[in-house]
Amino acid sequence: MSDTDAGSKAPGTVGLDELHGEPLELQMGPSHPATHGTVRISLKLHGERILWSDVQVGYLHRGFEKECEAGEYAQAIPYTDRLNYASPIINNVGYCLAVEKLFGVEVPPRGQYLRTIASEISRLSDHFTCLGAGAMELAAMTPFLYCMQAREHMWDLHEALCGARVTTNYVRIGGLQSDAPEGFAALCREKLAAALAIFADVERMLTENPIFRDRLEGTGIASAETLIAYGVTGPLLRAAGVPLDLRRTQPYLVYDQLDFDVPIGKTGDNYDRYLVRVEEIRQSVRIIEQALAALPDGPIDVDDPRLRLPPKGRVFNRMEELIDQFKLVTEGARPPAGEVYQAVEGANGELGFYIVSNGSGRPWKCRCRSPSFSNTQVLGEMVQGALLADVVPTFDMINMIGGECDR
Amino acid sequence: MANITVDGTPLEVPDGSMLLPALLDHGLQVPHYCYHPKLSIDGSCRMCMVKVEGMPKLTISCNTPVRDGMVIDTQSPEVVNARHGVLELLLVNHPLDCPICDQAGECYLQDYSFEYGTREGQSTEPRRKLLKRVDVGPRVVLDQERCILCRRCVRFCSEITETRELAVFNLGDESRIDTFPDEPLANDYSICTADICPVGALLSKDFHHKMRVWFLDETESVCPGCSNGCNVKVGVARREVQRLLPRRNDAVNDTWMCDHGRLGYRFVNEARVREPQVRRDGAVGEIGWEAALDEAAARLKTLGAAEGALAVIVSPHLTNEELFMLRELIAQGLQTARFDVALQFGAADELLIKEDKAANGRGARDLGLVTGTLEEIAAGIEAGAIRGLYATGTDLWEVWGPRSAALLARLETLIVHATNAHPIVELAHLVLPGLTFAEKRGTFTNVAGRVQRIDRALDPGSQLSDGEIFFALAHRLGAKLSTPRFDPTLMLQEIARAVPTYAQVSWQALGGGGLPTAEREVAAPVNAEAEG
Amino acid sequence: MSQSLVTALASQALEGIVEVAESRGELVVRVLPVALVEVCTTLRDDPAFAFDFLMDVTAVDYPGREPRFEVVYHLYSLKLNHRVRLKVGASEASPHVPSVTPVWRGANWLERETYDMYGIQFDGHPDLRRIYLYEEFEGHPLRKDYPKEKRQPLVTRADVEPAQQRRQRERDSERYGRWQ
Repeated sequence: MSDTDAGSKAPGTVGLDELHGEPLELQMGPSHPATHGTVRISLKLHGERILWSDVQVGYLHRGFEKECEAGEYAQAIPYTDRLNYASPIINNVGYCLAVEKLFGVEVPPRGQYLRTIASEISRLSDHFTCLGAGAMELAAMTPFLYCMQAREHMWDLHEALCGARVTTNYVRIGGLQSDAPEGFAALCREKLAAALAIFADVERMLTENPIFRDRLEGTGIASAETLIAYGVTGPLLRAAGVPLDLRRTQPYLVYDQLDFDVPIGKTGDNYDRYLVRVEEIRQSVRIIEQALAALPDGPIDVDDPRLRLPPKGRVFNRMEELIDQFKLVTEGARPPAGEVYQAVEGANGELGFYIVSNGSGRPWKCRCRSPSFSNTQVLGEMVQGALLADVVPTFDMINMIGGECDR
Repeated sequence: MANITVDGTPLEVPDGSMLLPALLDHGLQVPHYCYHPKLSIDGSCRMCMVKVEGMPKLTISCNTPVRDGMVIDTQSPEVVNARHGVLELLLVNHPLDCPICDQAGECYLQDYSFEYGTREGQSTEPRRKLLKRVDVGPRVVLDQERCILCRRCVRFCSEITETRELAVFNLGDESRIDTFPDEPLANDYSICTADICPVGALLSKDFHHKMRVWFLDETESVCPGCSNGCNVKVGVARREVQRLLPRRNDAVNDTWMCDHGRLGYRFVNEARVREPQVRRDGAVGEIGWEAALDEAAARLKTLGAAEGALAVIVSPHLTNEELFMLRELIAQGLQTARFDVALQFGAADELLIKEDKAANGRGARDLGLVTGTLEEIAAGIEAGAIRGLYATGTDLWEVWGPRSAALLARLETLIVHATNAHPIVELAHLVLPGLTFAEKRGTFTNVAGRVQRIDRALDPGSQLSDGEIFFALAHRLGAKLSTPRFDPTLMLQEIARAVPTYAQVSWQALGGGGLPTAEREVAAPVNAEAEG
Repeated sequence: MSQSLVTALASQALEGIVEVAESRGELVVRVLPVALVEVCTTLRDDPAFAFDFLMDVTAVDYPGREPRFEVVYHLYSLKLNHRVRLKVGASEASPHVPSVTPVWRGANWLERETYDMYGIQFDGHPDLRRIYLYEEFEGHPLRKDYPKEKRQPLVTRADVEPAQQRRQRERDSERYGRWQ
């Protein structure tokens, strides 16, 4: 990381500045082996220094909002899976909490605990993805594959809950798709232990690794003021020393009843971001263990026929329930007219849903406030004047998930 | 007007009216089954009960006259409880047919049960069994189990058609709707009973299991079956017309329409002519629009050069705008041509069905296109004086009857506008595809002189409308036209200028209900010279 | 919704605020476009409000209503842990709203997205261009009158490639083969 174009020159040599030439225009992306995510970074380089950059997103824009407006509220849930597809359940939860706020209902305790456990499993999946892919882009293939193995354990848990590894579609308006299967707690503990064991190896490979530290320490720094001005949230902000975590400041589900720490960094460089995520993995495991121990019995769905389908057995045998099922499926749940903004702590920061209802079965507007979008915006400032090689770890640690950034 | 208060809001309602229609006309939601604005008051369903201050018990709002100063509560716990009770009892014996019942999506029982009903029924008794899929008539099917005995159908047959086919048989739990032996529900308005049935007990056989109603895009239009111009809703799905439903228009058809008109949508979907065709050396081939229009213009020009060699037969199924365009075409491009309208007449009744069987015969008359010379034109063809015919529709075939084939075969040039495959197409030298009423915007004038809008329910794609064809031909014949293109809204403005009785008519002003152009209802005079 | 925030808004009576309403426990403040930047600066700097985070900028389309568009801002205060929603109207004929990039730098991309999707012009924005969609895209897709299935005209290479580049490419493909 030495400067070749500043400071002292050996006699008889000429500095880079004095060579006649033009800045090199380099396109990084949209398809690039060292960026996980579809993004195009146009760069103008002077040697290895970045003079100017333009981060262009939108390659994965699929019209999430427009699709939601065209369907019923329940039909939007599979679309939310595909926002931050590394942590699908957190998106499901955020959206359903927003719609439930419109209705003015709250899911019973067992449902809330299961949602919390599932959210944290998704958060683990996201962090494993970020750290693994991040290492891979710095040419460390082994930790990547180890992290993928750890992520597989998390996906096994997703599969046990809802049948799907990635596109979970687990949460429903007013409840969940189904209750946790028999023996889920034991399976969960087993998988967490396995994942942590693998991750311990990853830490051994990365945390004190001189090459890894060299690439990450001191790179991609942005001050807390800058980050706040850009609306950055999540591990990116916490690494800069700002203790903002919605699970603590504006708790939802049962986070206020569980004991966990929020890791804060010091310098806000890429290495701190890495350490923050590593510690968050440990805290997520802690949350899951407490929640499993405290998991109450009872129903998982709110008992409100305006939004939750009646049990199938009654639908096939009883008139009123048949009619309710019919109306809910063909016309959709109709929340009272109004608007609501519900934010949850996604793996990358504040994931907000702003939903406007006009009283019909289809949302008038369904806006997803994406943490990746705001986080990626600050990339340009972070790499200004930095070396080209620093773009890679910075972009990795921002963890831009294309689905969430571009919606 | 009387001043009443409903749920705390003051409202002004017409004096002497019943409470329920007054509330419904103000857009308030009050559930009801047996009440219908065009039938007598029954008071049998007990669903419309509301609380009137000062009365000890709840009253049925359909049979309570408004009085100045009345204070009404439609949301009180008593009312909510009453609705729960009525719905629960209605659902006790109702079959679990929603998944196979056509009414789903427009079923009053479903809607009210979801909004106002109890969540669970308390009865565990088995439901009473009655007949399902009873063939009560040629066009209607009855499911006795689904019936909630609101008696709307019985009152319809008794008061509107006065044919009294349906009745309630037996008493109490054994009550059912049925017909008398050997007396099917076969009146000309039988499918209206399926309209007014709030549940899926009486259903139209034509629409049975055809399409779920929430897939239908509905467009307001007018039925083209006869000159009465009943207001309809055209239901379209998968680029086909699936059904027609009557729309309420108190000046034209109340809430009814006849079965013949209702089932007369099939021609829109079947055997359509979509591309221009030309006959050369005995073979029929498709040609492009530009070539077809050039050919048509050339032939018309040649014929128009000789006095009296060309006749134009106007179709009374064209919209006023298209007829006006045709009038311009004749006046400026085909001055030597003879013309008349091919009107068809048939049986009429005292209710809605009219003698003049065309959608816009009156419009053609108002625009001065009726000359009464159809027979002379036939004679002219027979004699060989008329060598060319421009038929802007296929009605001519039915009007001239069996001699049509022989007559038309004598022609040098026969140009026909056709929407569907038809015998006349076989004889034509040039066939230009036409659009049906469901595919264009425009206006029809009904027999009483009321101008009503029709709208585009189906997208015709790149196919030209009849009016656009007339416009293109007029251009090729060198006419100077007052509008830059064929646009129904612009044409209507021209008509308003040209025809004194249409002075107040404009697209906006017509709205959904149309506008009258005559002082009083004037029946279309029978064309004594026409056959049939 | 924080009671102290309600009190602070009431007592300060900032100019340009037309309405303060509460909906489902959330505070909604309607602001005049001309006063937007000033109100936002106060909301950010005044210690009674301390809204240091601009979380989101978006717009809602209400066709037939005047003004047709409503630009919606969501603010959050880290220190005082409260939120507020700002709303500014933008008409169909002239959908202009002042940019709040001078107050929060993060508004840059958020306003670009709102412009891209709704066609709202943010006056004073340093770089107002599309962010998700390509330059040649016609229309603003989140508007209610933009049909979901609408097809866009095909943009061929000839439309966007500068002439000199095309000549170079043709020369190269002649010299070196097809794949250039």
